[in-house]
Amino acid sequence: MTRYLLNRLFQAIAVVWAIAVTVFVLLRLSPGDPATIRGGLDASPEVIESYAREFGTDRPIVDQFARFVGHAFTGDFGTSVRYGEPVTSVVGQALPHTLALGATALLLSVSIALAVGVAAARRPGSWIDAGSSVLAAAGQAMPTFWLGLVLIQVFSVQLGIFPSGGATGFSSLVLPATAVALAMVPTQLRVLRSSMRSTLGEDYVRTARSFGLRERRISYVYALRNASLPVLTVIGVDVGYLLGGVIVAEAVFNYPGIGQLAISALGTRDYPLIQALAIGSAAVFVLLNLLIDLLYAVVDPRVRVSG
Amino acid sequence: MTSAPVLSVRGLRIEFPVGGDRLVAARDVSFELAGGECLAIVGESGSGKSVTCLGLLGLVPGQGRVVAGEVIFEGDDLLKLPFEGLRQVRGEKIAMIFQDPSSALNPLFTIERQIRDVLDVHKDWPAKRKRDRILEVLGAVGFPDPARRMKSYPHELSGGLRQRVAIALALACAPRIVIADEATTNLDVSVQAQIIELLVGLKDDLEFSVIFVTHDLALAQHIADRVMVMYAGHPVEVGPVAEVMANPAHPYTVGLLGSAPTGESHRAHRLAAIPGSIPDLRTIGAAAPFAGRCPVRVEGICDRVKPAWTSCGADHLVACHRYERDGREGTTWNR
Repeated sequence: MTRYLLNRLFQAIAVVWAIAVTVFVLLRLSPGDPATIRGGLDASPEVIESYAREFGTDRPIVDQFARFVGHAFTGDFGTSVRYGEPVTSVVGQALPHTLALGATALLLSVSIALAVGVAAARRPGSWIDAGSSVLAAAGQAMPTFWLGLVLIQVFSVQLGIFPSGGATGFSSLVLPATAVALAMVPTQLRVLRSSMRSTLGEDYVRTARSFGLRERRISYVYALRNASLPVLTVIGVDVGYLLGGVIVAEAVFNYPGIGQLAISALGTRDYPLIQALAIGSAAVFVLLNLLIDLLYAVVDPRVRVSG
Repeated sequence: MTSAPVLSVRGLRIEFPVGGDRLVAARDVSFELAGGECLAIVGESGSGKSVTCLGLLGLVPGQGRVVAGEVIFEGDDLLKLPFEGLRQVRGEKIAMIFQDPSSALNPLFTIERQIRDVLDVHKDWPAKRKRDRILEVLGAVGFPDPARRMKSYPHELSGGLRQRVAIALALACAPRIVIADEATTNLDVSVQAQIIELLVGLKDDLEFSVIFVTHDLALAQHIADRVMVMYAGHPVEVGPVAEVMANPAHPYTVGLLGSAPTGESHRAHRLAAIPGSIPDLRTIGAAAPFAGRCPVRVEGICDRVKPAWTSCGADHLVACHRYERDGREGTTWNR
């Protein structure tokens, strides 16, 4: 198990490293650089050059990269071009908001998928099963930005229950989290429903039934634990979507998180900030997937042996 | 052995809807099980032996339904019991052992947990007593070092050990009847012998009754007191196992015994297969179930009329028109 863990950790570091290099190079290959944008259209070459010297973009790319990596290891991701503050503090302000939004959305989508998926699997062909198909299709068909606007129109403008934007406590989380969650529900719901249905047909479910165990216990303990394994995998993939979906939702709801930060950083070619955000997102994705793999071993004892 | 029956089944009929038709998986199945007795139900795949057993406890899978009959156990008709009442009989009074121990045990829970779950449902005991009981039943089935190894998961055990666990699970609540559905079919022959021996020993010690479902007549001979032969959902012959083996009366039983390989016959001549295949259970209707393949069928009768039971020996019944007309000489077609 330790060996497995070390192996996976090494892989995770390799992935993050590869992404750091790619982002670093691609940013500098793309047109526009922070000094030109900061200088504006009428800036003289001298002004732009002085900005370039200030931001360090006048140096050779290899040199820039070496400095970036060296500083990154000490926890210093440079100074944001746009905000003039250390990147870590800029990100540090936005990150809690995004984490709250992402976690709420994930929790919400998994809760919906669990409740509806298990109920649908237990009664195939029932109204709840039909309802689950409609929910899955609808969730897949509605883009997050559109759903976000509809939610604002209904729950903020018409009903006035939730704020239409900003980050003002839990009530401001509800609408953006719902918009993001509903986009993740379909896959989770479909996978859970089908794996639950096949699990309910397994011999050990029949065994449990033949020994007089209660149906509720059979479904929610015996079968659900087995059926949750494929859903874990889907959640791992969803984390990638979550990172993107959150950006859209933050824009629609004017929510001061990482997504908003990323959009403004891209606009100003704020190299240090973009690099930190891209590498940070990659690290979150890789770490969460590692966590899910470990969770697999917790749920399924057979994985522990082979791992 | 011949005390009052603990279980009597009368006219059990199990149907599955298939398309617009109804497939009759078990038709007019009746038998009695005495205290401490072992009844073997023998037949090939699809003969309705397993589904009959599942039907006794209301466990017919999918869209299948028990549409007629009664299952009298301790004065109640299990088929008329409300669901909660039936659930309490399952596992506590009547327990099952299934064919494939690798899929019949939940892969994600320890052996201890799975036995404890059964005790939790049926016994209002303190934790200590449950733990003792788990150790006791695991010990009884010859599970080595139960105190330590009861923490194992099914995948950590061999097939034979898993089947011992399945038996321990069945014995946990000290049931009056154990239904073993092809319980040894998936095991190596040597392990199979151990499991059979174990089951017979436990049955004699603990005095429960056994319904032993198998496709292997020779195996039935080792374990059972009586045997019921089923074909295409119908019981066709029932009697003491030694009597049925020595003097089979139904042409299907005759064929089944003739098709088993024997020591002398290898290479000398081919195994005597029964020609044809089992009939379509949707269209079998009122005919004798074996009529389509029967070498000694009575033309004009067997394909129209379902035969009634005829006595053909001490406690030995057969359902066959040919036997009714010509006696044992008429049905012994392959000698």
